[in-house]
Amino acid sequence: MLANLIAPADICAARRLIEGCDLAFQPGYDDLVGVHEQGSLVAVGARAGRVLKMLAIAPAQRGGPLLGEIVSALVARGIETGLDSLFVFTKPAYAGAFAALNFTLLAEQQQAVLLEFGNGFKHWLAANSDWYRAGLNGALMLDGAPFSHGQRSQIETAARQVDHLYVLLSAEDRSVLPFAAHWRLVVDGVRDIANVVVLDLAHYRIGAATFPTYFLKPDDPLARIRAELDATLFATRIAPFFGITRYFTGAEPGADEAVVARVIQAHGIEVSTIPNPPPGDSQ
Amino acid sequence: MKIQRKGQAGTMQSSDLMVIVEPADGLVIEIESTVKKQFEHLIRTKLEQVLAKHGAEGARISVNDRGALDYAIEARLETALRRAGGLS
Repeated sequence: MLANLIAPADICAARRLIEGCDLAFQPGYDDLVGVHEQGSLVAVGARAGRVLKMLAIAPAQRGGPLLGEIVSALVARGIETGLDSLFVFTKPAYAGAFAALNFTLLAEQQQAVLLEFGNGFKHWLAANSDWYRAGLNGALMLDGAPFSHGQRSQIETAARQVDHLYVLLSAEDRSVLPFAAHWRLVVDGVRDIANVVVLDLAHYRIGAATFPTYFLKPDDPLARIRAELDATLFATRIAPFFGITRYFTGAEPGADEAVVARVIQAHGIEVSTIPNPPPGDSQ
Repeated sequence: MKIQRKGQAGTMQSSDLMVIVEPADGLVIEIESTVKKQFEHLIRTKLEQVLAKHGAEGARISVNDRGALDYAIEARLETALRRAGGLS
């Protein structure tokens, strides 16, 4: 029978089951549910916001209805709280199990896959389809709020090289500002550049805060895996929809940005470098 | 009958389906199914029948099906409609 796991003994049992399935128990979730059979915990799963994680089924019980039962319960709770789509990040080997539950594969990398429940991505594209512009389109990922003069000059430089420039923002990125304030600063800051479109990637940007690492090992290159998965999502799902064929990045990219550029280039999008904002620059 | 809020019913178990009903403009039906290729048209027909029976409008119906039979489709959709305030 499906139950919330709240008591310390239940949480301990959940941890044992998760660790026994070669996954890591990571606190930080909204729901933790499990199924007991004959007094022992045989299936468990958690939900942190829109992300399902730590899904584990006892080896003897796999291939049965337990995964569906756990996922149904977690998805139902997520929808109750008002979410329109739920994600699962897991090992590529488990992608098929979630596809069988009608999850859609959004992005894959050698060690990680992202699948979505619901039509959230399709709806997001539809909601943003008015921003599609025909022509030579470029994109620039804007992270690190607040919006600075240096970033503004990067946008000017990039905008001169294409017909339309998409400036990509997401609340998933770390920022010292609330997203609405950051968004307003950027939109107001580029209003006078006619060919710039500011695009909110919403949760279709895999940020470090939401990317769960329970299925990876602590010595795996976690930041690189996340960056590659995110770049794949952008290059294979988002860029083609908006006709983006050029991606702008700073002249001296950090390790993550270099990874992103390599993945994006591998998907046939041209990567152009533009001068970095000077250090210590801010508005 | 007007859909007033989000309502859901069902599970993702084999031979079941999960139905989510929410307010929308017009009547939109979205179907994901493990047997989509063979049976999407039959699932859609059944859904439309039930929606017509209750005169449901202004709703997006998202269905996640795992091979449910007609009576399950009808029961789950009616429950979801009721929870969405579209059925009295």
